[in-house]
Amino acid sequence: MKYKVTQNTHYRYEHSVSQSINQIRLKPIDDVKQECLSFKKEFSPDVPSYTYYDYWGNHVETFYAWEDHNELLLVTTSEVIIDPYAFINTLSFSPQMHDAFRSTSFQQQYAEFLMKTYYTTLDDEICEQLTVDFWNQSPNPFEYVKLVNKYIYDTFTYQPGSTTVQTTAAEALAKKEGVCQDYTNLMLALCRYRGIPARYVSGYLYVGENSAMRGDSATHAWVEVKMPTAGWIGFDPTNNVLAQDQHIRVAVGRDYADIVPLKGIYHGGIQHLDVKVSVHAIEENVKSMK
Amino acid sequence: MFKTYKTESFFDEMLQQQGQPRSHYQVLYNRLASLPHDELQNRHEAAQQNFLRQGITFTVYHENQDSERTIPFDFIPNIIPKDEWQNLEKGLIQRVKALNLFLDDIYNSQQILKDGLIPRDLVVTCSHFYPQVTKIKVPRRNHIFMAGVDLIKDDQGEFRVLEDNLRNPSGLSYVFQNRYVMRQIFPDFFQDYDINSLENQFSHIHEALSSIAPNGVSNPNIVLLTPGVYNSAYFDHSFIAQQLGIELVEGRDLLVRDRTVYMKTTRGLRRVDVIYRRIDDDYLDPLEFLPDSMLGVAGLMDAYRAGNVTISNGVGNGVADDKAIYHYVPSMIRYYLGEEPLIKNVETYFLRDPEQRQYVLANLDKLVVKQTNASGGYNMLIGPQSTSEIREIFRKKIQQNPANFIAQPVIKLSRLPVFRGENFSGCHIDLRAFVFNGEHPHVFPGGLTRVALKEGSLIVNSSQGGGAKDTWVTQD
Repeated sequence: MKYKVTQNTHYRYEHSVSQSINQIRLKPIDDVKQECLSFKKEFSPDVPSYTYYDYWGNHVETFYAWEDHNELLLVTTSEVIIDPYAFINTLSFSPQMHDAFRSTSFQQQYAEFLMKTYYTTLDDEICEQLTVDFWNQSPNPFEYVKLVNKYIYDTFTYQPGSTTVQTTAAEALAKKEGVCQDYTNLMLALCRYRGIPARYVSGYLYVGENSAMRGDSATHAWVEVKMPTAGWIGFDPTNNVLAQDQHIRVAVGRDYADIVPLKGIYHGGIQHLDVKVSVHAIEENVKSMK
Repeated sequence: MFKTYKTESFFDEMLQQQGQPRSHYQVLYNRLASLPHDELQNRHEAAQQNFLRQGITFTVYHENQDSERTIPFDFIPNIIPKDEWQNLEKGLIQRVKALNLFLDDIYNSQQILKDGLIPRDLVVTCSHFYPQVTKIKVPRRNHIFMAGVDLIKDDQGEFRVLEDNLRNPSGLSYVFQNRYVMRQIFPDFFQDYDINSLENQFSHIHEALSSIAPNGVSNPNIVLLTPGVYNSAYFDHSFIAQQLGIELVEGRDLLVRDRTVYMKTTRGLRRVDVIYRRIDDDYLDPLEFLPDSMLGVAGLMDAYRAGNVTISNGVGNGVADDKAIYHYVPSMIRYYLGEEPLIKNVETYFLRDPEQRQYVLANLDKLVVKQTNASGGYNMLIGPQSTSEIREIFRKKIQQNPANFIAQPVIKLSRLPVFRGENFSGCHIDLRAFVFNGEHPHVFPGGLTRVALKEGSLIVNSSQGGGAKDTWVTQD
C-alpha cells in the first residue's frame, strides 16, 4: 500500500509568545516493512530546525520560534509504502523457539522493552490474575498476545476525553475506558509481565472505507512485540487486529514518554492546539522497492 | 592524654596497637603531649566558632523542618605519607579512566554489554541511564570532569573504594576551609611537616575546565550552574565559582537559541562554552527531562547534542556510580585498560540473585544493606547496630523489590583520635578523594576526611552526625 499522510499542527496563543523551543517526532519510520519515500515540513512563521535520531532510532526535529508570534502552523507531508507481504498472521513455535524465548540472552537483549515504566507499571498480582488463564491456554507467546489483544478490546470502552496523556495503565484499568494510548499502556504491561518484549508505537491509521476502525482523527498508538526468529509484530488492541499494512509507523519507544509527537516550551500565555490528519491511499498493494 | 585511648580491634591511623604513634604522626604526637589541656580546649572551641563566623553551613533535610548546621571540626589531621599517597593516586586515575571509558561506551556502541561483561539490563534499565545522551559527541570524550571517590581503610590498613561519585560530588570547599581554620588556629601543628599546599589547585581545575571546551575554543566562557541558595551545597557552589573566577548562574540567567547557550548580562547576551553544572540531570532541561523543572534551561540538551556547549560532569553519569554497577568496576578496569585494579572494591552481594539473597536475608544482623538508588547514608541498614524491628522492615522491602538492594560485609573502618575535652577517643573515618580530568588526569592532594563522631558509629555523612578533619599529604 502506498499512502500520503498530511498533518496540520496548528498552535494558537491567547497572547503573543516568544522563545519557543519545540521537538517533533513525525517522520514515518524507514525500514524493511515500510519505506518513507518523502517527508516534507513547512513552518509558518518560517523558523530554523535541526534533526537527530534518538536512542530508539526515531527521527527528531528541534525547532526554535524565537520572535513574538500569535500562532504557529506546522504542515508535515509524508509518502509511505508498506509492503503487504511483510506480515504474518500466525507464528508456530518450535521447541528451539520456546527455548530461545526463555533464554537469558533474549531477555537481556530486549531488557528496555521488559521494564516497568511510569505508564506501564501494574502490580504483579493484578497482572497474574488478569492473564493466568490466557497464559495457560496459549500454546506459545504469540497466541497469548492475541488473547490479550482481544481481552483489552472486549473489556475497554473507547471513550475519548475519559483519560489524559498522563493516565497510566493502572488508572485506565480501574476505569475500563480510554483511548488508544490507554489500551496500549495496559497491553505493554501484560506482555512484559510474561517476559514478552513489547514496545509502544505511535503512528497513523488508514481507515479507508472501513469506518469500524477507531483512531483516525489524529495520531494512533499500538503495540509491537518481539518473538524469537521473527521481527517486531504489531498488535492494535483498540481495534483487536494485527497492525499490518493499514498502520503507518512513526516512532517507537518504551512508552509514550519516549515518542511524544509534539512538545515545546515557550514564554507567554495559554495555547490552543489543533491537529488535523489525513491519510490517503495512493495505490493499492504496490510492492516496496526494498 | 592518650593513656586511656584504646585502638581496640581497628586499624588506627595514628597509633599502633601498643599505643606508640606511627612514624609520620610522631612529631604531632609530641606536640600534643606538650600542650596544656586548657589550651587545646580553647583552640578547639575557637575552631568551631570560626566555621560559624564564616557561615560555612549545610542544610539537613528533614520531614518537618530543614535546618542549617556547621560541620563539627576535629583538629587531629588525617596524615597520609607520600609513598602511600602516590600509590593511591595511580589507583584513582586508573579507576576514573575506566569509568570514563565505560560511560563513553554505554552511550555509544555498548560494546561492554555486547561482550557480556555486565548484565545488560542492569545498565539500560537503571534509573540513571538516559537514552537522551546517546551518540552525543562529548568534547574530548570527557564525561567525568570531577570525580569524588569515597575511600575507606579496612582493619588491615588497606585502602578500598566504597563509592564512586560521578554526578555532582560536593565537599571541595570544606577541604579548603578545614585547611584555612587549621592554619589560623593550629599554625604550630604544621611545624616540622612538609605537606602539599592547596594554593595552586584552582588553577589546575580551571585549566581542566578550559581544556574540555567545545571545538577547542581558547579562553572559553565558563559558568557554574547552581540550583540556587536553597540547595544544601550552595556554599560549595559559590566558593568554587569565586575561587575559579567564573560566573555563578541559575537556570533563569541562561537561554538557548538556535542550539547555542547564552548568558544574559547587562550588556546583552554572551555565549557560554562550558557549564560546570551542579544541577541534577532530571532538572537540566525541561524540554527533554522533567517538564516542570524551573531550575534548568530549555534546549540545553539540543545545544549539547550540537556540540556547542560542554556540560560537566556529563549528563547520564549516574549509570556508572550506581551501587549495582559498582560491583563491576574492577571488571571494567580489566576490560578497558587491560590492567589489574590497583584499589580494591568492598565485596558486594546482589540481592536479585536468589542464592545471594537467601544468604543475606539469613545474615541481616551481620551485614550492611543499601538501597541502590539512595545516597547520603539514608535508607541504610547496619546489621550489627540494628534492632530486630528495623531488620524486619528491610526484610520486607528486600522481598518486595530485591533488585533495589545490595549488601556488603561490615567493614571495620580505620579510626583516628577525636578530641573529647577530657581525652581522645577513636572514631571511624573515610576519605573523599577528588580526581579532575582535563587534558591530563589530576588527583587533588588529600581530600575531605570525614569522621563519624557518634561513639561507635560507622556513618560519616554530615547529614547524619559526621564531622571533618584536615587531610595532609606529606612531601618527604
